[in-house]
Amino acid sequence: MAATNKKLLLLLMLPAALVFLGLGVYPTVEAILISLSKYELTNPAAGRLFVGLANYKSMLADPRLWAAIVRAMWFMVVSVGVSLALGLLLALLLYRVRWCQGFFRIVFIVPMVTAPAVVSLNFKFMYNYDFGIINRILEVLHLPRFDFLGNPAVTMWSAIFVDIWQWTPLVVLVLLAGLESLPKEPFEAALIDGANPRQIFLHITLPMLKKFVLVAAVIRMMDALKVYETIQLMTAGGPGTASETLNLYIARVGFTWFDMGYCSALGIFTLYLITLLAWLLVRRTGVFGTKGD
Amino acid sequence: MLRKLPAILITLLALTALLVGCGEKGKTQENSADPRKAFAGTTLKVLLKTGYEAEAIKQFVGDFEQATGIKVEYEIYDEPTMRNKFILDSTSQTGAYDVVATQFWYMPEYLRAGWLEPLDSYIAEKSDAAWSSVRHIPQGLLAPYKGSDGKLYALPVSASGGVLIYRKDIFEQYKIPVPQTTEDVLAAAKSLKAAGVNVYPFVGRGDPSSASFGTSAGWAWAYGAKVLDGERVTINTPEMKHAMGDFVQLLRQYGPPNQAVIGWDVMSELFRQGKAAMNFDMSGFPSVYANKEVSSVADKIGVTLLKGPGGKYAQWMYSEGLGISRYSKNKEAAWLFIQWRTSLDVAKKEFEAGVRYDFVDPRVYEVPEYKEKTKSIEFFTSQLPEILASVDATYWPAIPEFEQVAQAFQKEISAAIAGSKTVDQALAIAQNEVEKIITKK
Amino acid sequence: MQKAATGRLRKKNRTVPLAKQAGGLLVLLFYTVLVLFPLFWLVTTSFKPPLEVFSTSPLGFFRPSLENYATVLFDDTLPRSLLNSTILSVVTVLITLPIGSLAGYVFARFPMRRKDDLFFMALTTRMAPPVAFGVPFYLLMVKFRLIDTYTGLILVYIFMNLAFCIWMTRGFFEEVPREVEEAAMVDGCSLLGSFWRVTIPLAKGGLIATAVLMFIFAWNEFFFASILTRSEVTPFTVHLTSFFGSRRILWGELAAASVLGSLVPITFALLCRRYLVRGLTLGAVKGE
Repeated sequence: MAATNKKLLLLLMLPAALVFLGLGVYPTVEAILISLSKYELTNPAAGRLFVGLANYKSMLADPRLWAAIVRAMWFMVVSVGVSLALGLLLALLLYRVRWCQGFFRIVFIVPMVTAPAVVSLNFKFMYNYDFGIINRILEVLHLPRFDFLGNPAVTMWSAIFVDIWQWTPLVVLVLLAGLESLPKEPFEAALIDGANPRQIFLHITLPMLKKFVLVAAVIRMMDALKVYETIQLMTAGGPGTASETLNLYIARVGFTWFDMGYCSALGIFTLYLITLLAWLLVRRTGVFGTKGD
Repeated sequence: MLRKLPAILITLLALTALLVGCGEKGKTQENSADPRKAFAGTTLKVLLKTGYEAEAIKQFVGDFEQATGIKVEYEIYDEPTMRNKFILDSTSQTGAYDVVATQFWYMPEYLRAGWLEPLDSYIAEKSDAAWSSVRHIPQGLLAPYKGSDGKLYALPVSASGGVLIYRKDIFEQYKIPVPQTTEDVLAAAKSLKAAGVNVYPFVGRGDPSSASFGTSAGWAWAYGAKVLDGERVTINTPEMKHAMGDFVQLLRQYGPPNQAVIGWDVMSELFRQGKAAMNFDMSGFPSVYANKEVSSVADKIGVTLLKGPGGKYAQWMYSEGLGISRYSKNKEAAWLFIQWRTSLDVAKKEFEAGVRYDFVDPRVYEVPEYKEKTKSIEFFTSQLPEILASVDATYWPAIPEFEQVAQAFQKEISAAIAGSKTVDQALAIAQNEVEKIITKK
Repeated sequence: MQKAATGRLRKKNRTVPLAKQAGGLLVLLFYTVLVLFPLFWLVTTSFKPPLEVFSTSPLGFFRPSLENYATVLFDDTLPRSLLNSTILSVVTVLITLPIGSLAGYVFARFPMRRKDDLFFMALTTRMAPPVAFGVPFYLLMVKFRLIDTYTGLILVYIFMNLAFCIWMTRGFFEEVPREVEEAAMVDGCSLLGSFWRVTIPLAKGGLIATAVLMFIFAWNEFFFASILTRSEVTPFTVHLTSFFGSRRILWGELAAASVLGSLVPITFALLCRRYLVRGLTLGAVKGE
């Protein structure tokens, strides 16, 4: 019985394994090989030339790359930080108004499942200097017009705002679920002991919500690092390179300059970074139950 | 019943084959009568860039479809997207596009990669008598589309030089002389601003795209400055510093606040809505600005050429053509299409409809209807010969790596316009980056 | 059990002064306006005739018009791109769900060495930015002549969604009590039989939710669609970029297309909102 079970198990896993082998392992190996070559699609006559670690060495000497990485980190930190803080506040407020929670829940779903492409283009229009609604409202209020996407000092913030807008609802819903799952006893005990709301919040609510805050943080961080079309369609990385995050730069190297070798190297480097980050976030915090499961 | 099924099926099949065969015969009999209908029933996929070159196709493609029975599906995108799609299509050899718009500055890249079909044999053997115009086009305008093998790889559709387009009414109102040099432009902008004019004294392209490189590089040539001198990178030179210093000042102080993200489409929109007094750009724009249907300042504009401290004309060299993709599966039908597009017939329709007034086929200028129609914009059309003569291609970096070089340069200029760095810093960085690109070649 | 706790806590609420509640409600409403406004703007723009879209007059009233919808539905290839999106998303789900849930079942029921490590590596597809995979997949599809085909893009989507599917279905299957399966097997069902007749029906909700989420991911995807399709198979997200028209960006039409294309994921998400939070947090939070 056990033997047939084992065979059956392997059989059940086979399709998935095939997918990962064929579409995962094979392209990754290819990517590594290409990253060790000089291969430009716009120069097919030159073909593929083995150049060893040259592409990786270029990465070290590429200030534009490191600027892009810094921007990506900055984007993540601000977007995640703000959406966590805002989400927490809103979840607490929402928790208090149980009676109309349903309405809010439905409303909050919409930004989360609207395509980032749609959101990005919509905000591009809203931010427009001449015709955008935000500037029109500013005008009505007799305030000066603001260049959200054209002013290099501000572009990243405009993009970060869009990300916050889209994903804070998720943080709210996660923390709300957390609040609802908290046991009542500690609160009652604290009230009996005469603790004030601030103390209750800091010493009971927050620590007990830790798991949920961590989940929200990890998910938000992962998603913030994946952002691509939200920025690309709104600013194309501009003005200049003011909003060019790592993903935008990789896309530019690969699909505007068609430098396949360098782009593969960048891709592998990124995967390595993400895996490292993910390992730290996921395994060490155990938010997905994978710690010593 | 079931046993009879095979027999029924076979009969049906035979009947169908007969009908289809008859239909085909009928068609070929029709075809031998009209060579234009030889490819009737084919669908052509045409990849175009936004702009007035695409307008004619949008408006008049019905004529082509009627005359040939070929269905045309065109896709219009902004330039970077269009180039991207063409390259992705060519590198994957999908042949998703048959006809593609070819901006002259990408020709070196496309030619090196061999993605376009050489046209010489088509011209020699398959010319459509009425539509073909290539033998009338001046050699100079065909040059950008020729490969190192001397073969022609695309037919030019438009060509342009650089002009200053200004608001006659505003200049008259504030009694400012028409600028003849780059210094005049700066002086005029300064005067206008000081006088409190309620429009932007100047609008140009300030965004970091390779398309906007044309403005910066063209302006610089008036000062005798260029990006590449052979294989040498000459960005960090006194002439370029002077040129870009003036240019950045012009856009930053006298242009719209978001000048650093304005590309040609927004620039055009602003000028057409009467929001700017001057615009330096391609000589294709006066046609658009003088079109009453899209411009509110159609009868208020003037055009002039500019010279600079280097004794040369400020340039805006541009040309766009149509080519056939090497991987197209309908090359002959595509050839018919591009001949139609560049024909005198279509040119006539274009100026009648006010789509544009500048053409590469000099025969157009002799057509009586043209002279009639352009009476009101004679100020522009009379200058066309001079404009085309002022075109000096020596400043242009005609290399396959154009896209990277142009972006490396233009993004720095754009940053300087936005004020996030000085012109000197911008040029130093650009020099460095372009050198890297050239040495990597 | 949870309900009781919250019920008791509700009593706590009644001791909160009404003013404070009102203040909180106000903040919530303000935030809701912030959330809804861009969407509201998108919808109103879609109903504006072309000239009104550009009017710089502040917030003026406008005559609603269906012009944009008419243009995008009849004069444009939007319907085709919506069809493409549908085909891509549906087929992706139809293939990924069976493969993923079978593997998920194995992970749920049978102890394995290093299964978390295996799983973690697969999770990279959920965490890593698609651009990192851009070049390898592009070249792969070129080599096998799968550019601009449904097959090519669907294969990529399957790959990107499979780990998620396995992970989520594993979670849902773990919630099905073993005893029920064992009872079925005692009654004569084979392993697969009990899986099909007992486990799946009991995990139905979760499976549907996983399917819907994968559908939404595929529907909203942009990057791979932009590099792997040309004209035949382009989904609606990429099609949106074609509204950067000849002289101006066709905002009105873009808005109409955006609205039409967003109706599908929003509808599905609303229908399975019970599982939405769980899905988006990879099962870590069983939101309700």
